[in-house]
Amino acid sequence: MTPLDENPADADIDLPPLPSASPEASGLTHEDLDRAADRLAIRRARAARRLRPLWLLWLLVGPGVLVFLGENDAPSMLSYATTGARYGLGFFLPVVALPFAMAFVIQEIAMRLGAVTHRGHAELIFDRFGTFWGGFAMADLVLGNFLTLATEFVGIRAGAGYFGIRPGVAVGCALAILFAVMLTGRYWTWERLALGLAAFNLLFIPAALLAHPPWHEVGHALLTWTPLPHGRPLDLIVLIVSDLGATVTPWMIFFQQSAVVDKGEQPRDIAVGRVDTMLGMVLAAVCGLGAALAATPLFVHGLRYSAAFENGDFAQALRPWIGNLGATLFALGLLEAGLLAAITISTSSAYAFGEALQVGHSLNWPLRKAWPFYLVLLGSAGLAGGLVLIPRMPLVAIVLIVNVLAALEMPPALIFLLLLVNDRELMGDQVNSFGQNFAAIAVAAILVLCGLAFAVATLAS
Amino acid sequence: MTPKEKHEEGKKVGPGPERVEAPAPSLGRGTLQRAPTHVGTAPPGAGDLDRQPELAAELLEPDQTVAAKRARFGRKPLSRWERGLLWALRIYVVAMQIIVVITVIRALHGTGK
Repeated sequence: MTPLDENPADADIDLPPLPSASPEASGLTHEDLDRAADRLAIRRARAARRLRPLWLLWLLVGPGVLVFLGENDAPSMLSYATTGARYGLGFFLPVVALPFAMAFVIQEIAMRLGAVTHRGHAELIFDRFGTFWGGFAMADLVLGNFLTLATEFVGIRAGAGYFGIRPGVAVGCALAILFAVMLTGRYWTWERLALGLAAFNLLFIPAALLAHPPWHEVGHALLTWTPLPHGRPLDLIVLIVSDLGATVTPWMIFFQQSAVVDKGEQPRDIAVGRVDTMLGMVLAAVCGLGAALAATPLFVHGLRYSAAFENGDFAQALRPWIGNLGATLFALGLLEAGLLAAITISTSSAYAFGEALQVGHSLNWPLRKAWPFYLVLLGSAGLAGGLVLIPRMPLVAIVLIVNVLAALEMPPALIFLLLLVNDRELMGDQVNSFGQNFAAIAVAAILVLCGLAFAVATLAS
Repeated sequence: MTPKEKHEEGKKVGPGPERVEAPAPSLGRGTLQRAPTHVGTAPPGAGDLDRQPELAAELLEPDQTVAAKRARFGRKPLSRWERGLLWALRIYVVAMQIIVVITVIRALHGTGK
């Protein structure tokens, strides 16, 4: 029997005729009732005789797919595309793909922490390690999230610029969509809308197909990591660290754990949560490789690409080689990548804020009941959106540092994650196994080594 | 006792170590003010729970309700090596941030932007 076939004994699908009682008397809140409704749907799915695994997956899919496709954000896709444009097929193709496996190791832990403890990541850090270390973790998160949010609006600007939409209009529309999604007052609805938006990340796949890459060379590069790239060591290291930071970032840990809590997942959902996370990883890896492959014609034809992010110039540069349709798909994909990530990252900031200050932090609350949570969500996005509209703002520099900064800030976040998941008082028998610890420590070691290589190359150049 | 054991034992307390009292959250918890528009967008069965709070409570784990989450997990004392590792990584992050700033300044001067 697979974990998906689990059929708990208490899975009655008919509601028992309980005597009427007020929710106030039982101490339940609006948030609890919404979450219980989600649990009722899951209970019914577990009792279903037909299509149980699919039904369960449909109900429980969300945080894993959203975090990975949200992570395939505008700077990430630009980073992957830049990799393809500068170095073509070869060493960097597996470099784009491998970090997704590293990210899976980390995100699976975050999912498990959320399902077992029912607490967000920031809340656990503050509870277990105190305000001092919690403050540091929050400072890293706030800085990283704000800069990353700004780059999402750079991506939105770049994608919309291809269609001739002015930057102010593009940023304003993105904020309006974010606000509208936020207003649903229900985690389930918010998640389904975000998942619908995330589907547009798949546009990078047809864009890659229109580039007609030689598939035998793609396979050869993925298996052998060759041909090796040439160039200045610093440039190569920056790109490697950037590709790592495009995939493995602190906000993902905070977001997925909080989303799992808000969704109401429980320990018995962990198996399906793993499937959700794995599905997200596979989809994101395929889309990331799609962005890199779509840009390889620029390398093949010896064109030197310089990103200015003003008028959708990446898509414009690709148009002669992948056609109008391919360039349009690429620009739309970039627009979506920025928009989805703006939604997920601002939500991650709001969750962390609410958890740290112990104010309401659930998307199941209506706006007027949890206005500080929503204010942070919309305010952080609004500030970041405003930043990219300031004339002469060095957008290139911001995009350049964001992914690198994310990779460099990751090791401390990973240590907090490992300390928490190995805390038997919190996790019981769901603590990490030796293999899981080994994999997570290996990820942290790779990130530290890449960071040190980056530092040495920078100081030596 | 592990969280799973506690769950199976009869849902008396939630997972986690000894808890300490925390100040009440700023939201008006313990009250029900459900917007009617939510029912249509929720998974099947959402509307039924308004009338059956006992069932709603049963569907959630004991420590999954907002009221239960007011309790805080206690502090976990860090060992000497854990504290040393966290400090080392803190210094690492600050050093790396300085190097990133150097890189950006060089890149901006290099490209003239």
